[in-house]
Amino acid sequence: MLSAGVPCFVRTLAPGLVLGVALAAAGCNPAEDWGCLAGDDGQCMPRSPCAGLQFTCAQSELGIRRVAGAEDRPNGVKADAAAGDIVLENAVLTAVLGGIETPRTLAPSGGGVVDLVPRVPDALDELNHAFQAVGILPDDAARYTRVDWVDQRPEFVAAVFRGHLDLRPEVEIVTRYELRACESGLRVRSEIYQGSRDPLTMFPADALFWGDRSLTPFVPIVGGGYAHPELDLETIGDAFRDSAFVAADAHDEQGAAYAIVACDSRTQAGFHSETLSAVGAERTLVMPGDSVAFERFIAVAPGPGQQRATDLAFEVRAQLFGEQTTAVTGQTLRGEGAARGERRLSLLFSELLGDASGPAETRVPWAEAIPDEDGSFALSLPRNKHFSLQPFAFGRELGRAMVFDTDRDAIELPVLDLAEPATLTVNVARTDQTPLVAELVLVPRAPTTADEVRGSQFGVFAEERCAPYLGPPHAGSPACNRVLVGKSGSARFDVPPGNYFVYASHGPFWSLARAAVSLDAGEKTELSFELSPLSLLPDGVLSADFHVHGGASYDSSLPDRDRALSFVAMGVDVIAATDHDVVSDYARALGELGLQREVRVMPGVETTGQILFLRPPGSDVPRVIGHFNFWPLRHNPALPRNGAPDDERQEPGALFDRVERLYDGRGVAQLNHPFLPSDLGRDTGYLAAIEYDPRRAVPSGPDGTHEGELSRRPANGHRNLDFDAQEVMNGTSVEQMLRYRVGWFSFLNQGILRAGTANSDSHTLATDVLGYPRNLVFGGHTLANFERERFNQSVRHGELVGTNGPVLDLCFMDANQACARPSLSALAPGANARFHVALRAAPYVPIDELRFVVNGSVRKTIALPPTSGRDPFGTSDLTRFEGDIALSELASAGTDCWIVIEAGLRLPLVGDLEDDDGLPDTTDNNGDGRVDAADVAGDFREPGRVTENDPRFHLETLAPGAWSSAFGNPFLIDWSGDGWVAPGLP
Amino acid sequence: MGRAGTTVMRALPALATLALLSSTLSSPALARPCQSALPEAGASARLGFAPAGFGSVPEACPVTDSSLQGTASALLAFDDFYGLLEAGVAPRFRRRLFDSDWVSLWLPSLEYRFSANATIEAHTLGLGDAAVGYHHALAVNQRLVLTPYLRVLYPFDTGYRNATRYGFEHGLSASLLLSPRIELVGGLAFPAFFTHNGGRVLAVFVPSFETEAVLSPTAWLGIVLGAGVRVRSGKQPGFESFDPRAALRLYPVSGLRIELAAAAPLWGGDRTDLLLGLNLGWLFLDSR
Repeated sequence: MLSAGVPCFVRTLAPGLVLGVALAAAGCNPAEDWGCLAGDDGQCMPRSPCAGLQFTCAQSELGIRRVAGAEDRPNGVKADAAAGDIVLENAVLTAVLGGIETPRTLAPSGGGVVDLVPRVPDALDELNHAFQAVGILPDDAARYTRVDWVDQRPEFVAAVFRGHLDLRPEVEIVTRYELRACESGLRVRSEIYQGSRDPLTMFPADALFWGDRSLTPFVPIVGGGYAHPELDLETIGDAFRDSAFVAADAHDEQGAAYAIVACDSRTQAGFHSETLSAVGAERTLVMPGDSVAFERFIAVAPGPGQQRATDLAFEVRAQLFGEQTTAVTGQTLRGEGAARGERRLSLLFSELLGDASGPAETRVPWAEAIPDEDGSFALSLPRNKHFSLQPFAFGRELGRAMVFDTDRDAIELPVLDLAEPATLTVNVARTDQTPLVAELVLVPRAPTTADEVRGSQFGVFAEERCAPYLGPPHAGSPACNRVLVGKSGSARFDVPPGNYFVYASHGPFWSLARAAVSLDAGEKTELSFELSPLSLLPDGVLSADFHVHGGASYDSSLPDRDRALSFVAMGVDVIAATDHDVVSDYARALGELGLQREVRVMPGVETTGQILFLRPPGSDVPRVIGHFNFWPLRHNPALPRNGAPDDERQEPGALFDRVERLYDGRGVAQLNHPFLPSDLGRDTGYLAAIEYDPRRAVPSGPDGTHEGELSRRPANGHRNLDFDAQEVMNGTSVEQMLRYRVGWFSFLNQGILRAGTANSDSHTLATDVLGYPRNLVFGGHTLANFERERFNQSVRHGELVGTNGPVLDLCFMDANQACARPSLSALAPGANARFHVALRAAPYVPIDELRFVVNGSVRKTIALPPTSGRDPFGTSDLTRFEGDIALSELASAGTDCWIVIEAGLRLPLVGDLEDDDGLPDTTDNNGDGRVDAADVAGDFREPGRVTENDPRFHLETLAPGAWSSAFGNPFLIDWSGDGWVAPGLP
Repeated sequence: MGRAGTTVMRALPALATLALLSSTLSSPALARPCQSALPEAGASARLGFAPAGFGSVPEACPVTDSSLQGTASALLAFDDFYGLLEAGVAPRFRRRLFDSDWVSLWLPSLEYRFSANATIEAHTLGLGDAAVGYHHALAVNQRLVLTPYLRVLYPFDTGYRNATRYGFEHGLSASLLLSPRIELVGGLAFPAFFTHNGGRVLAVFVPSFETEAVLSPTAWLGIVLGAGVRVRSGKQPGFESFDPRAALRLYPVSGLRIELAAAAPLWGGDRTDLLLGLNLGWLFLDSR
């Protein structure tokens, strides 16, 4: 490729050689055009972006101001405007730019777009964060150090951020955000001066952090739309695509939609995934002393759907590049001539490059429209193209596509008369007929198959369990195949025609109800269920989930109201609200629902480092520390992240020091999913990040080993090891449970005593279900007289049982018959010391065995009778085992030990074949009773969906993937009473 | 300017004075080193430390020749997830004007660059810079010739979008004949670059000193071994590198030169791992 630039040197030839420097300096580049391309002298000003644009309207409102407090925060759970941020506002939109001192997500400073929301009633901000970068390394993100305001009302207002690349101070960047009256978007121009010594490849771009389950990017390219090439940081070059614009829309009806359009080029480069998009100028090799710039218009429009945002993108391109569009209007009817606006009905408009039946590779999706309440729709499409209109409902194509040409200024399409759905009304009540907040789960039954009713969002977010697909799996109810029943005890929703089981549940400690229905198109059916509490939990026990996400997390779209409703529907008593990097309390949602008394929410956070910095021994790439939960924290919406700490570039110990000051009372720090693999290069579990080997001892101080990382005091305060609890169960993955269990046992063997917890890590209503698993917290706690400090003390002391169904009621009984619960306190056994074990469960929860683990090895197993014959929907026959086990059966007198009691289905046979890291990674895949090379190292097969005859069917329907399991925290047996001595690693 | 660069700069007038004094002592005729039996006298290894051969001491002896100069370099900084590959080929000419004077011309090279910033990659193919130079050989005695020179860079490099890079270099080439088959070559080079971008100039000055031994056991073979030292002032000053280098010259037929050269910068701010040079030239022997 031949680069531009030749004309400049030509002028230097004539006048001379050496002195040509000065002449060229004066003659080649008129200074007034340079803005900050020659670097930032503190005075330079990038020129006004998108100069060809002009929007007119009657309203002249325009302003720029600092955010004063929480009252300036736009609507929407993703809104994060906080004191110090900057608001640009006109009659059409509110934009919040991050204050310099406030880094967010992957950006090392403020200066990104924090909130962008249309100024229409009920519109919700959906933007996690948009910021500038020139590459994928932390070095390449813009670190702004100063912001200047330009107030030239009534013409425009602008904020100009000045700074440099984070770890390349010699590369300067200046970004101008400009807002004009009437305009539905921000004009943005970034200028970058390359002052480093070597040529540098730059991809000047806006990084748009979607976070997996929030906004979904839509790219109008061949085979594109919502489908994107797989994003792998090691081969990211393969994922680059040029496009006319990028749009994004939310899962919620009120959620805003966005579009980004380059102003200085007909195409923009970028890569896209559900996690992240980067949109900007083409990749460029920039020589030292040279510079690059890029301009774009970031548009925002009300939802639902993205057609209003794509309309803006077409308008911008029409003005800047003269591209023509066609105004397309139409009407949808859903059976019997009824107009019906619904989020589940959407219309995908694709340019046909071949015939109408061709594959995705012969189509360019240009827009998706969602009909209004009256069934009408209107949008713009590129002119002179051959289009198909494909209706979708319940995540599937609905009827045949309509084909048309955009050969005129305006087209009115024929009426789309589409098949009508069935409608189901479900009532759930207690046995006394009072309404009950509950969850409904639908599963197809013969002759309807899952394949016939499974759906997805145009191929994105395709979940096996979303059959029938009632709504986007990451949005509010109905989501996937689930519906929440509110305080009224009744829910009405549309269902694709078919045959289903409808389950009603209030969590694993209540009875389960089910009905079979056959639904025809247009048919309206009503069902009623009664549920009753089961006598499973001992007195003084509360169930708690210490790892829960909602829409405030960057990777969730679940509205607060539905998240709060799910707490009650799943029968969880105490919640630690642990959104990623933001403190939530759900107080408003619970208040609106009138459910404040049904659940206690402790505001907390899941710290989620994004900026790679950690260099554990032997690591050839930088890492992050994974995720930690902290609760209770003070919830302050006037602060960035509602008061959550800045957690970037902090080792765990330093983070513990920092959070210590933010606790509301005495807090709990929890190590989350310790060995979970990294996601897009970001480590999610600390023990995996440092490559902790559970077979090796943690030294007393850092010694250059992986294990030594745990003993470091990075800020001379806490050690990296000084968390209070660690997850032993997280969600329903059996593989991860077994790995975390190994890590926990390793710590217990070394006398590193941390409470073992079991949490759902739920981000949605559907795919990771709240309360599966959960903790049973002992200690005489009640919801009515909830004492948070005392409750958290029980958590720190490990007075816990973790479970996704079985209830372990465990007592260590010594000579005086006092009952000691599992905890991290040592117990001195007297004569005839024994364990009293009561194991109870709802009838539909399968349990095979009771296990006694001593110092990490299963010392005793009690097989339990099979559950067949038990009525899964009954309320009796709850006790599976009750009896005493003498301590002498488990442990040798005189030698201190720890004992963990477990129950559930038999654990799968596993081995560590793949990488010899001490963690299970392979199952007995050929069923020969041993795990060996024939099983293919690294192939861990999670137990999948089972048929209705399998005892696991009902539990697995409620909590996909669940493998019935429960574990108690340890009993520490101190024989001599002179202090418990850890057994050490085997 | 860094301390090392400052020292070299201060030494420059003294060296120039020495050169002038030497010239007064020299015979009017061309010094013997340039007329020796060596297949090609006074030539350092031809490498591309900087555009258009800047940063490498040019030949010390007058001759008319034309050649194609290929250059390549590789920088692989794994810790920084950075890589840079550059390769170019340029026509070079030298034209003897008088007994001791000649001009040199380095035409714009065809230049390929590839840079990886982690896995974000880009490459360019375009023109590189050009240069013209004037060289004057001063015979100090029967064994030593000193050649002050001046070269000016023409900013042809199309790799720049908004900026333009200018430059000049002056210096002193030297050749000391140790025996009929062995000479020491080298000298001082003072390249300076000025990248102009909208009123802002990024100035870089990279003085270098190099010395090489050239062994010519036969009329068709030359072996070059030596080293150079560079310092940098201006932007990011400091010790630039110690550059061990080697070259192999073949003269398969009279007048035809094939040279393969390599250098490996060590220890300094220049992170380049390897430089390669390939020169295919024709010496107009009657011009010697």
